[in-house]
Amino acid sequence: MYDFAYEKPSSLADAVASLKANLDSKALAGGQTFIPVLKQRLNKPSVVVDLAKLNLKGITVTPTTVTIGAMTTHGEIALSADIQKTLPALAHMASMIGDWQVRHRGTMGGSLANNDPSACYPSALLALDGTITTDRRTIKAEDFFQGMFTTALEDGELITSVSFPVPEKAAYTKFRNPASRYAMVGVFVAKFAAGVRVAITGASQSGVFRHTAFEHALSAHFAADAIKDIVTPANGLNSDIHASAPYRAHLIGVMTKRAVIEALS
Amino acid sequence: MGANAFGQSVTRREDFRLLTGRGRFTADLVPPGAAHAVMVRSPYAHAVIAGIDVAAAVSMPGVLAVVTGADLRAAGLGGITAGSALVKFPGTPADQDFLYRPGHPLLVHDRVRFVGDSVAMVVAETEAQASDAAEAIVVEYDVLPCVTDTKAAAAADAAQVWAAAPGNLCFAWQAGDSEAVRAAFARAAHVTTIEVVDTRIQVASLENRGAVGSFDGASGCYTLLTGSQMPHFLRDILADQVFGVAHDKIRVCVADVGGSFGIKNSLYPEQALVLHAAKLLGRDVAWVGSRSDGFVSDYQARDNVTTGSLALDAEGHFIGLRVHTIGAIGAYLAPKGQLSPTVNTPVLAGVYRFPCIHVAVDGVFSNTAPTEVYRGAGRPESVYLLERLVEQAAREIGVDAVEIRRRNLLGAEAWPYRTALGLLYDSGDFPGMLDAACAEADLAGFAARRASSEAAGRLRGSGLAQYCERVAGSWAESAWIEMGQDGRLVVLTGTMSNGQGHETAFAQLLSAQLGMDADMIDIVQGDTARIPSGAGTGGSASLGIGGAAIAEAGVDLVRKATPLAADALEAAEVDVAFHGGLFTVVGTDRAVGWDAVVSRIGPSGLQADGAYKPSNPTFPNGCHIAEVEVDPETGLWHVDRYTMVHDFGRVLNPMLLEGQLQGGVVQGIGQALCERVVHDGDGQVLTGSFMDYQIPRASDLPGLELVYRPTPSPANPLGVKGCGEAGNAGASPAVMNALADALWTRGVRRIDMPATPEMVWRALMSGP
Ligand SMILES: Cc1cc2nc3c(=O)[nH]c(=O)nc-3n(C[C@H](O)[C@H](O)[C@H](O)COP(=O)(O)OP(=O)(O)OC[C@H]3O[C@@H](n4cnc5c(N)ncnc54)[C@H](O)[C@@H]3O)c2cc1C
Repeated sequence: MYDFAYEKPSSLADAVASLKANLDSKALAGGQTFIPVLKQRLNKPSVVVDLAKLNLKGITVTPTTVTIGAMTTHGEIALSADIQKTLPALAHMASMIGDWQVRHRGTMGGSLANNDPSACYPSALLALDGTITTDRRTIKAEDFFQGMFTTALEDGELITSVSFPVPEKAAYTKFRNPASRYAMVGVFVAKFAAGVRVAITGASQSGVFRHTAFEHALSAHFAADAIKDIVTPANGLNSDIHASAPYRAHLIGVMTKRAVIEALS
Repeated sequence: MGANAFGQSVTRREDFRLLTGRGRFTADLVPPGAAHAVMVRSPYAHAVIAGIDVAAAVSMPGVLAVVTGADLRAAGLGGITAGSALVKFPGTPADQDFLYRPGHPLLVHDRVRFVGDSVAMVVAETEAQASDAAEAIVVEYDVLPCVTDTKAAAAADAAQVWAAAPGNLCFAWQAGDSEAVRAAFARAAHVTTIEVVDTRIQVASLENRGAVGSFDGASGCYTLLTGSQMPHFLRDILADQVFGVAHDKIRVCVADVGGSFGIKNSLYPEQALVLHAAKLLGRDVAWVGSRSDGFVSDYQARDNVTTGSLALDAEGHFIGLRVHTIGAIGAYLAPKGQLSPTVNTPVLAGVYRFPCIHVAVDGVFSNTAPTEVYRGAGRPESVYLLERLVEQAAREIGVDAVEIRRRNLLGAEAWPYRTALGLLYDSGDFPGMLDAACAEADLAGFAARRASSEAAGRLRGSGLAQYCERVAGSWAESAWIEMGQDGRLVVLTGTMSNGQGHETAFAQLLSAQLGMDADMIDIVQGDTARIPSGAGTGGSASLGIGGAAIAEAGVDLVRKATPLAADALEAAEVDVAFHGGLFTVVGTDRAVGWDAVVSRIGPSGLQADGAYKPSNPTFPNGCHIAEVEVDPETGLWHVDRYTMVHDFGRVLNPMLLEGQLQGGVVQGIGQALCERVVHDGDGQVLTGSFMDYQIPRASDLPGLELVYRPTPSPANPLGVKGCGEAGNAGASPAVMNALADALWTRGVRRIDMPATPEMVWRALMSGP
């Protein structure tokens, strides 16, 4: 770890000001991604701005929306009775992130800001057509993700909360990377009155994406059989030591089928 | 029967300190004021060092020294021993020797040969300062072609790691009777041949490596504090090979060790370099390796490609075995680098009657970290090949996998039995073991379980591995006991626990033998200045040899105490006999206990010692049966049931035994399921962290059924056989046989370790 200055402001305005004032400053949420990066000397921030005292934690649930503060941990989301009742797919997703130690520290805001191509939440945000609120604006999911580890956030812009419309039915299925347990292929299926949205994470070189062929078929007929003849092309998918692109393409089909079955059960 | 009697599950005296954060590992013992060292490692798999510029680094804040390979040459320091002599078995040509034998340099000065090779060491006031300076060292590399894959390294067109080793050949070794094997194959009714891959393993002990060096100018004595299995072995290499000083000028101290499995067995560059730097600077120097360091610089293990052929007669009897292994040595020959592929090949005879065996091993260099011994050190590899071969043969000739074994098992009536590679089996009940395992695993119920898996769209397979190891026969160990006026026993042993629980086991052993409270017994290990000699811990030998030596020392203590007891009893020494903690006048009920002895001990205490050198090894054996279930849609599979029936001779402490078995089985399953080091085409290590190197997790594992079926070993006075590695030996073949069985039904004819989900899926896709 390189030396850096550490700040823990108690207002959002101070945090944003500090990030703006210092070149190479970085926000710190749960630290589950950022601290390992620091320890390996892969990042050399001048100032680390801890978001812990900004009151960005909290879960608000209405019959039509779930709103989650950026600093809410995966553990809090997984265990929230309100989310388990209204949007159980999201609670289930949170319960499958890392282990308890990670879930007690890692936050939804940190995960979305990081936009790791293998992270889980991006698929929920995209499939549910959620909205990100920052210190200065709101951003639709569609506009937020801009390729792996890249988002629409400006320098020093902080996510404050995320809101999700409540679907009729939804499910998340995750084929874990056998080593890291991140998503090697994760599929979030959400059925709304207006149609079905399917978002795939873990698989693509350009991060989370919507599977439009599946969406059309499932919007016409929401059943596992509806997609059985649709072949997902392997080009553009990741190949690494854990899974080749053709294998990931195959898993996208299997895991989507399972997500539909789960959403219907 | 007392609480510490032989056979009781005495709880571990180590656990209170280890479970409450009071363990003392190397990194916990860095003295205040020590300087900190950081290594500069090669980022290339193969390159000429065109220049090293340390000018910027040496003047950075806090920097005390930068040491390079050129500096070491100038200082006249040696390198790390390159292997020991190649073993000779029946059929090994008398003149067989290494073709090339390069030692592991402490720091490379001319050419790096693997990613992680040591290029320089920086010492500074703090670790951060040392890291900053390490980044400022500019090394100019001219990159060369490299090879990391073992089979590719043996191929004709491979990049050459050493100019002096054409074909990358370190040695070409053989044993057994090639003529007899040729004849057997000529008359065979059926020959089964398979090629198996034992992937390269990152040992990944919980505690990373570390070393603290000190130098005392007045006495000229170096002290190394480090994690190790073999403190005296390290002392000897440091004295003889590196520094060229007398043995008593090197002291090696070992505190708690957080797992080793072979990897903290031999000397590493950092252990010598902290001593050199301590002398240079006149202060303590600590190097504490990170996990990232370990992934590129720990010795690695396994990494063989083996072809085995089994000749059978028309009745399915084994009539000959032929084995050829290409074994990865790595870039340098590590101190025990040649052992695993060669020295344990006699285990290839297994539990069967084999008239003849021939084994040939090519040790090949590649641009990879040197390989070293790892849990089993060649035994798991041999068992893996043999037991996969046996089940493949059974399927090919249409005989049940249990039945084919029954036709070939050695029975107890054969003891003593000389195997084709020269072992003298002395005990065990192999047929009874097989029957018991089949019953315990409920093989009879397998068909029904398979049917219900298939009804759910899953495949199920059953696999078996029966093995006979050979351990605890290679060296001698000594022990010393001091009994003080307070009645406490201080026991010095040259073995070295790395988590097994030796303090508990040895205290239990003596407590039972001497009828003395275990709390009165202190076990001292890990200090070459205090303990005169030690072979160390390895090869499942600590109880069978080290424990036997302690028991002998216990006998000597009784001998030394008897005159004092006789004095208390006012009897002649010859009339006093010891039993169950009491010295008794033979033929009377007059007896005294240890308190009478203790009250007569003079200020210099009572000194006793003992030694033990086995004349024959022990033969731990067992039978593992695994059942796996496969999801054919994704290739994901898991071990659903696991049974291990075992014979480790007499059992001192069942709880410690089961700990060893569980760990061993899990490491074996790990190889089958997931563990492998992967390099890319440039020789970069792609498995550089646990994000990519997968070790098995608790949630990947079934409950393990462990069943005792002991037959005492005649090879040592305790009757024990050694259990440290056997779990590993049986697990990989049992699990892979089960997976092969599941996939066979779908036409899959080959599956290798580690069977990742994608590999299983691909195998199923390419089936008929
Ligand atoms: C062992 C392990 C397993 C894991 N498994 C999974 C998994 O299965 N699935 C999964 O999805 N994730 C997984 N993760 C990642 C985990 O979810 C992280 O918590 C998450 O990716 C980052 O969240 P954080 O709160 O820890 O953010 P930090 O690490 O603190 O920050 C990450 C980045 O986001 C920025 N940032 C943080 N908060 C904000 C904000 N409010 N506004 C703007 N920028 C911000 C930071 O500056 C930094 O660049 C795993 C992590 C570990 C260590």
